[in-house]
Amino acid sequence: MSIFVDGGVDIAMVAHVVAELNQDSRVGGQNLFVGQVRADKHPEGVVTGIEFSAHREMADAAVSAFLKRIVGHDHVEPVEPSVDSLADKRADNPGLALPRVFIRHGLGLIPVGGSPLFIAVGTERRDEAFRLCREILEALKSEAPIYGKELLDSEGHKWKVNQ
Amino acid sequence: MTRIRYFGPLMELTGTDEEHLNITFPLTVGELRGALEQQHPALATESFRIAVDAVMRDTDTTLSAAGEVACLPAFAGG
Repeated sequence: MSIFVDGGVDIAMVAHVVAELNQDSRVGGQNLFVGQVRADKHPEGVVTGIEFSAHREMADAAVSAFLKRIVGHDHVEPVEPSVDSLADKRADNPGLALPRVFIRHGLGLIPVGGSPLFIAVGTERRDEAFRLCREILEALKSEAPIYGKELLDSEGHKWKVNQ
Repeated sequence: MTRIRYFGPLMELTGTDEEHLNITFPLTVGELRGALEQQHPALATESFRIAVDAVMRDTDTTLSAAGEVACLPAFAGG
């Protein structure tokens, strides 16, 4: 499954993912991260949005590789509601690997306040939920070939650099 | 012909996100980079990694063929 969606991540999915994980009796903790485009002030101008692009095939392969390393499996779950999703995922469905992992990254123009990134993990205990969410976030930033062109109110632009 | 893809700021430096070049194999990744720099001199001062057919390659790796070459500067997702 690709992590990429066109435009910003639809935050309505957050409630859906929380509800999905609520149905899993093995899960004792959820941790969610939502990235947001910030109106950074540069000498050249103020950021109004970021245009994201990626080498999609390599980025998805990188996600698969770091999930195997960090989480122990590379199953990224769909976040879009489907007719059978909740019914199929009740209780301790052995077909779903634990920890449960949801990742989405937006592509294209995302304005200030929009969300380019959503990560959610469902784990047995809270320490693991915090740790895995953070490790997935850092691995995504450092290992997936994704780029952001910051558009400025001066009509110029600046290429995003991860701090 | 080999498909060459440029990402992030390299798209601006080269003026394109992809092009097809006639590369003579075998050659090392370092030699491939030299060929790309001849095509686009602005690349000479840039820091970037090269992936061949979606796999990152070291400078001294010898390539016998390549369908796609990706020039990847520092990542900036999230």
